[in-house]
Amino acid sequence: MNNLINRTLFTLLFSAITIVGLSSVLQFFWIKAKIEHRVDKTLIREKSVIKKQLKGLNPKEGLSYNTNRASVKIISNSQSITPDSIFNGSFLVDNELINYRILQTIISIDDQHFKIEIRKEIENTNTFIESLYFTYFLTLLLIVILFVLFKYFLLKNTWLPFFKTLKTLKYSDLQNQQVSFSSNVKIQEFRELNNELTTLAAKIFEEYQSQKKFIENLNHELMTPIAIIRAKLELIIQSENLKKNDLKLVSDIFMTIDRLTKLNKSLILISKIENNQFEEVEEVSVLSCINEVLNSFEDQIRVKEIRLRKEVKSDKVIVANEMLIFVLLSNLIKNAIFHNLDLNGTIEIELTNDFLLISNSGKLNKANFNVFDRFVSGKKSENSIGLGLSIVERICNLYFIEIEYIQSDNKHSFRLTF
Amino acid sequence: MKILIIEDDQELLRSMLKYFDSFGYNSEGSKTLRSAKEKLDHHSYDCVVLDLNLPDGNGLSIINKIKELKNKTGILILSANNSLDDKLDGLELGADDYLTKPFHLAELNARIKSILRRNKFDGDDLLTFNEIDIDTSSKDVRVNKNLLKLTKKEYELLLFLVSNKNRVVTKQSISDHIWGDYVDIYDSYDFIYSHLKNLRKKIIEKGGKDYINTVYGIGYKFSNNE
Repeated sequence: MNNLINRTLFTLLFSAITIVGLSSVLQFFWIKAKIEHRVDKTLIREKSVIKKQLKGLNPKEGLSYNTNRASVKIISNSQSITPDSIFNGSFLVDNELINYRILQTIISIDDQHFKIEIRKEIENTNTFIESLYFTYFLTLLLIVILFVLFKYFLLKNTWLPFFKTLKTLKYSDLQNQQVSFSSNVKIQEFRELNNELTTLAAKIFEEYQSQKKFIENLNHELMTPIAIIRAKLELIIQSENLKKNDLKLVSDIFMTIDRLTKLNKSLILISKIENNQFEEVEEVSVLSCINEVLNSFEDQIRVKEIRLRKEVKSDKVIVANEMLIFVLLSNLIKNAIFHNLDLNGTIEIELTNDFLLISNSGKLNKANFNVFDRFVSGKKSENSIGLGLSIVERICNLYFIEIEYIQSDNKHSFRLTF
Repeated sequence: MKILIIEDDQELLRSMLKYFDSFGYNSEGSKTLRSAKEKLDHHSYDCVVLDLNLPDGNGLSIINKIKELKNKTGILILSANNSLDDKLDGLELGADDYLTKPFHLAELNARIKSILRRNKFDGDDLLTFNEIDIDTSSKDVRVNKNLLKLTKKEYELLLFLVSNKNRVVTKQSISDHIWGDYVDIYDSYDFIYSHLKNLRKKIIEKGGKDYINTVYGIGYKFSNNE
């Protein structure tokens, strides 16, 4: 209801109804006045006819008559020779109330005074209003019909470029695509809008790209200094003269460098996924990838005594970058291992042609709605940089895999729908 | 063994040269493509470590020249840019391996040794440390000629340590070597320890000596002494 075209139509319709209504009222009074004016003229003409007739007659005889149309009465008293007065009145004629326009006047001819009343039937106001209503509704109906047609032809055509623009805006990725809006539009405002949007989109695109480039370069630039620190430390530890305390310090630095490296690598991975830099795709078997991942985590699964249940209805083959699928699955499975219970933990993996479900037992976590957002979710563990699920989400987005986090009965599940 | 390292970063180059010197390699460094080409014209190398981002061009362009001069020269690409394109291009052009910065010197060394073994004629893929023989083509490990039954990880661990014999190898480099970049295992150090324990046991069972020395807090060293 609240869209542009309907809104416009309803505003127009509302004003049309108001205008038609008001004009009907005006019309009513105007036409009424016109008619009365006309009738009054006739009455006055008739009055002079009667006056002439009266003059020609013998005044002594006196004359008075009374018909439906006029009455002439002789009156003795000339006390009030009034000017013509014209008013409305109604009388019952054959049980029907009929409206009249009445002219009353007193004239004197040769000292003889006559009271003359001339009546003229006029249209009943009700009938009049009824017919006005009728035309009023007819007009409205016509307007509505016109508006419906208007909606489908005129408005749609007029607003078409606007809707096109809206659609382009809605469905394009301004950050990663250079989007331009047509400047070949007849309506000036829309043309201006499109031109402005094109400029804006170009700016967004450029800024995003340069920002992306900057971050990527920064991450890469960081790698060389990190490599230097690491190499120097590796040289230091070859010395035989290091004391235990020194070794402890060096060890801490190694750990920190490791974290830094992993963080940086994850950020590069994310930016590469977002930049679509994994163009190498092939047919990847999800099952064999899962097996490979489980193989690399066998130690962890064994040591934590996690019971693993794998239910494979059918293998799923997807066209994707193998490394990314490996990263995706290894992050999910790693997550299932490390966020598991310390005792009697379980992991269930279910694979069908349509979905993959990875569930693990674990403590209920209240605030985990935003598990994919690093900066919202989870405590930052000493050994985890916590970007794993962000990466998972991005890989899923890249390959249009729907991912869902489900938490129930002390069970955490990730469901991937292919 | 002659190695040429082409790397524009002075400090990194010096560190690599120093590390290789300690193994007794004859290693030289070049900071530009131009000086590398000159060196290649006058000397022959067993292995070239090649950084791709050089001030006077992309390192990839020199691969053909290296291969033309001496086909058996091993090439290991170093790059700060972990891009698959570079990797594929490099390997297609004839590079033997690819390593991303920041790398561990121990890893670089292990890779170079592996390249050299592969590029040598006549099955010189035997690595020996006292009574321990590692056949890298069949992946058989013998102690006093007795075959050891090792798991894949134990084998890789042993090979990595022996490749870096007499050097302290960090836990981090072992973890990265065994589990790879993206697996990123939190408590991998405990697992290194348990694999090493098994490895030690197996070697000693066959009459071998325990060469795996723990360096407090840092890692391990495969060596005779101590």
